[in-house]
Amino acid sequence: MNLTIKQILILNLLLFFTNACSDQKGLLTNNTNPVYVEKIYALDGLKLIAKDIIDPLSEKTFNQTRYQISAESRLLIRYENLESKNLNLQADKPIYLRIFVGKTDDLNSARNSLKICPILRNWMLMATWTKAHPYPGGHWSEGGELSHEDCVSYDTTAAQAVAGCAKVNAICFDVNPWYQAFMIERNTNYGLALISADGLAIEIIGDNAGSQAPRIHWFEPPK
Amino acid sequence: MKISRKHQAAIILTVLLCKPFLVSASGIKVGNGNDGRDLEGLTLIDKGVFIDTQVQAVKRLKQLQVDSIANLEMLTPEVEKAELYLASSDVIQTESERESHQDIVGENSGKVFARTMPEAGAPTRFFPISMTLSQDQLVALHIHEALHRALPVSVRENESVVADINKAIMDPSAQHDTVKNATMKSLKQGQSEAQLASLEEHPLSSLSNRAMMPPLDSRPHISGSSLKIANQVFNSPANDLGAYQNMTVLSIQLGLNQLPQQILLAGLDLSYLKRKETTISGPIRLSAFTEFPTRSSFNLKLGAYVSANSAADEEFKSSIMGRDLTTAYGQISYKGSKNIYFDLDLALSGEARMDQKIGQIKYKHQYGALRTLGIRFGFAGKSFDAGFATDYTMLSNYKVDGGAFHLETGPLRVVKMGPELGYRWMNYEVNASYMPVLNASKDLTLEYMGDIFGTGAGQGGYKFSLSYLF
Repeated sequence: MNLTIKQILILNLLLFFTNACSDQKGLLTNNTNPVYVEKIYALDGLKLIAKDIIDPLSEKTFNQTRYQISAESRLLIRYENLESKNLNLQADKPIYLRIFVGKTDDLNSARNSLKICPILRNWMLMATWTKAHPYPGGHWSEGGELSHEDCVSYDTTAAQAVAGCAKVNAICFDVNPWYQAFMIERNTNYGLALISADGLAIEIIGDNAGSQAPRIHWFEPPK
Repeated sequence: MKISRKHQAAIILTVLLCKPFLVSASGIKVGNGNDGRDLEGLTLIDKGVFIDTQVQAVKRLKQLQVDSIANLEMLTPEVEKAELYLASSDVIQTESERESHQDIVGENSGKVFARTMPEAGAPTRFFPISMTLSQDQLVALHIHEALHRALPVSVRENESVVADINKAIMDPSAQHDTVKNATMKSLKQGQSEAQLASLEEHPLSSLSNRAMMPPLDSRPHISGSSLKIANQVFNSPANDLGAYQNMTVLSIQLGLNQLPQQILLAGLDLSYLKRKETTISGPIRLSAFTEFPTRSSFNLKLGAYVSANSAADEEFKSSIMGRDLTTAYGQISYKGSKNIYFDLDLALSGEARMDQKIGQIKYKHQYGALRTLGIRFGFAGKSFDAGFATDYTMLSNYKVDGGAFHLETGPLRVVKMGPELGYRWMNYEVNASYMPVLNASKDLTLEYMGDIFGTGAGQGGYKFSLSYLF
């Protein structure tokens, strides 16, 4: 069969694009599952509320290197710009909230005691144990208004999914259910509260601590 | 008869040159005598009949309560505080003194009984012939000379005016009202139409003698210069470390009398705020006002405040009250009754914005317009006032945005009401009031009006102040 030069060129072009498409998939992954890009952000809305702290602007309650979580102290956590329309967050993938325990000896206790619970009212960084904000109508239940039935415990599989959750003293919580129920379905970002479910006092690394400050991880599709 | 231009010019020039030497058609002048000889050989009087009658004169004036009569407010101090001198020899009356002291001795004796300078605080100089007068006549002489120093500048050298008023005071049947009426009548005759507004029964006439103290014994009195220290105790939770417990304000107010019936005021307030464990510097407030009478029964005060936080503590600047504030202010004071006071205040502040960074979040505060209506009324005595005050404050809106937090309150309202007391003694004034919040939007504390000087903090509270007027 004699092929003209023109036909050869067309055939080569067809072969090239066919291989290119298959190679595109092949370059990112050698299997049929796409590799998502992990995004990690420092949590910017952190506020400690405690029964014995009345001053809404107490320096002990934000910008600290360590916080103690106990029966009478909780950490309010929020990624302030977590609005679904602004992000390329892959909603069917885990969303991890990562904290570091202050003492290695407390790691096992922390894994058993600490829980993440959705907050049901909007709050600001002047929140206290009894008030979500200092303006009219700011009172809330002591310790914050939380959805206790939606609390989640430490995720045992996170260490395999995310390198950051495999680090020493790291504890990760999958907050995707909260994201679905509140961010997607209710379009509200009231954040989460880190509590000690059994009242055990656990020290965690705070927002002023650099690489071990609390983080939020999610996945985005490849570009 | 036709006058040539040359002659017209000559006539005009003659009049102008002679004007200083013409005797005023409205009265006779007093002063230093014809050749100054009476200023020689003076002996200070510190005892005897002249001092005794001076005391009697003061007593008579206080009995008649002349301090509360317009244009006579300074008469009692001028009698009481005057230095007395006795000349070594008598002097003959000048042409202009022929009619003086007729209110005391009736006939023209030809010799001068006493003289003074028509200036506040000048001494009284007695001449030997005055020692022939009776005690009552000496009392009248003290008052006569003091009138030359105490009356408005435009009439104090008018012997007719002085004599008429002195006669009314010395009349055996004299009462406060008879003296008041005689004073008004006499001054009206002595003054020009342009100064008639100052003759009504209110202390504004003292503005024409700004070197003297503003009257203290009647209301409403036009504000003068003052130094004040005030302390406000707020009803705030005692165990709240962040709540402001009280505020101390140091104030200075300077009065400048630029016009006969108007005063300009400028003020500076420095504030210090105390919380449970700390004291911080608060905002500074600058003020400028003008205060003047109207032809009806009210005084009017208009001006503005500016509250700035440049020098305030960082903690205050980053708080909800840390905004700069400009307020327009107006006050109407009723002056139709000597014993009742009634003030109506209105303060208006425009919208404002303020940023506050907490942690890593920047919160933007937006305040709507702030309006306060205040009413004060009560009894005004000679030295003390007692009454009630009420304030209605409305903030049209308040909005906060920061991160995922958004809040808009809508209109916020506060009503405060409570008693107030005031006491005046010489140059000092003490005031006390209690103004708690009676009604407010739910959970509202006054900090969220953002006007610590105006609305205060917490749930209202007590206020005490001590002022020195000068």
